[in-house]
Amino acid sequence: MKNKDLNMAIGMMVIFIILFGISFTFQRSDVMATHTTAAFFPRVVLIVAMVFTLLLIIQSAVKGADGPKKKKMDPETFKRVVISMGLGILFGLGASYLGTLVSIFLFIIAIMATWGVRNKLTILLNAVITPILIYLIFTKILLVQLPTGILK
Amino acid sequence: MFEQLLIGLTTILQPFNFLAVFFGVLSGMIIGALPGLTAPMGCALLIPFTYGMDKIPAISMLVSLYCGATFGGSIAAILVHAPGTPAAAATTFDGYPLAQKGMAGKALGMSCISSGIGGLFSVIVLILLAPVLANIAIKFGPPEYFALSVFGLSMISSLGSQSVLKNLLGGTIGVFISCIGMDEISGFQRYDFGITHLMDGISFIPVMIGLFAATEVFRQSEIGIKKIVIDRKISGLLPTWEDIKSVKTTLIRSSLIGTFIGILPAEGGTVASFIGYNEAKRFSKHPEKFGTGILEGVAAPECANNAATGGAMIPTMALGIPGSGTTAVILGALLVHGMRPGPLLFIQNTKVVFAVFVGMFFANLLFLGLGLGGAKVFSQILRVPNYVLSPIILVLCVVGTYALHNNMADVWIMLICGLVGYKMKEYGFAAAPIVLGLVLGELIEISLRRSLIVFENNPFVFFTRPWAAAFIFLTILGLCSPAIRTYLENRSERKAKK
Repeated sequence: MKNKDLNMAIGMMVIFIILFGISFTFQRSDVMATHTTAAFFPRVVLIVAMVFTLLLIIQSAVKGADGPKKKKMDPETFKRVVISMGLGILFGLGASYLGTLVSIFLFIIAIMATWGVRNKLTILLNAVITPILIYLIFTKILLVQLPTGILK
Repeated sequence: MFEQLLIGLTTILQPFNFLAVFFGVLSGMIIGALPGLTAPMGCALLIPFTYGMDKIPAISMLVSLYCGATFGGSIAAILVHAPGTPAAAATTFDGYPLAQKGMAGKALGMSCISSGIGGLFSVIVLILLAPVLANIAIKFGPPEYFALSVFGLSMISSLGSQSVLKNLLGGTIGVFISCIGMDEISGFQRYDFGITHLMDGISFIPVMIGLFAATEVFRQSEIGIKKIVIDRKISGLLPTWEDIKSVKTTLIRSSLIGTFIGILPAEGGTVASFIGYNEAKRFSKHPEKFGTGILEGVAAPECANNAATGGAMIPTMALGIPGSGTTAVILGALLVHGMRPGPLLFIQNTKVVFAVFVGMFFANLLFLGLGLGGAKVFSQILRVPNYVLSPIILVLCVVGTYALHNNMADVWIMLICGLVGYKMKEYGFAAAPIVLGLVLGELIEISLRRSLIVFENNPFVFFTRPWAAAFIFLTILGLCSPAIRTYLENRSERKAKK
């Protein structure tokens, strides 16, 4: 039976081989022919990484069925994690288009609701106070120009 | 040096600088007290607040947070049996039983005093030792720096997750990430895939914030709603003079152990506190009482883990090799503020270095005062539910990362690192080795290639120069150390259980 380390290690090995291949496309200068090229160090690092990955593959293969199995997350938790990650990405997108403060307000309402918070006052207070504090600290005190989006 | 210390003292006593130290300690204690929030995460999140600051208040604030968080971890360890930071894990052994006996206040008081003594001792060692080490390191050339940084990286095998192989692989991935962007020697692009933002390379701040903070928010989403209930009354915070006298030998021993462990690259407070606890038990006249709730069992790990903070700053400042996960973030902050940690730091930024040392000394005094005076208040922080904190942390991750270059590309890098970090954690990879690899990557590459250029591609240069050869030897020793340590830890655990 395959364990989760083995799958992950094989995946990593493939990525390292691709990256190693890409290093052959780097430019090199004839003037600096006696010096190490731009590809030299990444190749050394990738070879070291491949050696470690190979050892991990061997270790996982030897462990076989005794190796760590992929823990099954219950569907509810899985849904919550995926939605939270999705909201994080939407928050990043929203900051560009809707503006940071509007996005913070919406993000906090959405994530707290996803996590199962039922107290509307807690959600609202958190959603209102956080953008105000962020505005005061970053824009007024630290003078950071946050993306304004539609508020421009 | 005395003159430099006096300048440092007058600098740190300026209102804004002192306020930065105070804020660092305060936020550190809050972060440390909350289980799930760690010192590296706190430092990574605080860096964006320092962008507009001068070097001295910026670095002093981060270092103070480190000290405050290390102590703060004991609050949750004593009150709710959940260490606020990994370094406080050993404090639960006797801290929580003491709280169960109705002596939570005394345990917190002892933790505070021991942490303060350990921290202050280590800062004195830092002040005395770091300049000496920097003086030695000033003679180092590229081969020595290459060997030293590889040694520092090899020590990552002892950081974070249990798997040595995964830690080493994580560190190598970190070094690889540092290769992205323009090659400093030839000027050619590497792995930028035509993306303009990658041409300058990947800044480590978004990576640090993503791996340490965003990952934790996604992990908290697994738990959903979590509230901590504190049902213990806190009273009588001050241990008696007799109490302190009874643990004085333990305090001396733990201060020495903690400082020494902290100096070792990539070792940190967690290892120090366990060793401090085990040694206190070993030398005790009544080892059978350990684990049942005795003050010595709180004093030993708390003194050791705070002593490790000053110890860990020694290689970070003098050699540019971080002594722990948190110091890797602090090293990143030094670079953000235009300072290269290492011997030259002591020449080019003498005022900053000594002001930070004095700031760290004050940070230890401050948490001593704040801890004894406000432990009851800090214990209330534990009541803040994770569903309120976690969204705010992600908001800070996004806004803080954006503030670095006023660029959304950094935010995407941070979010990708958060997602990848979450997945990697699931597979048993720790964040600290990746960050350490990323921070040291550039130094390793430059020193290796410069060595080869200067010594006409002779690879034996690393074995013929005494310091370089010594570091290479230590690297090999370091790679074998986890196996030795696992054996020793298993033995100590068996003894601790008896």
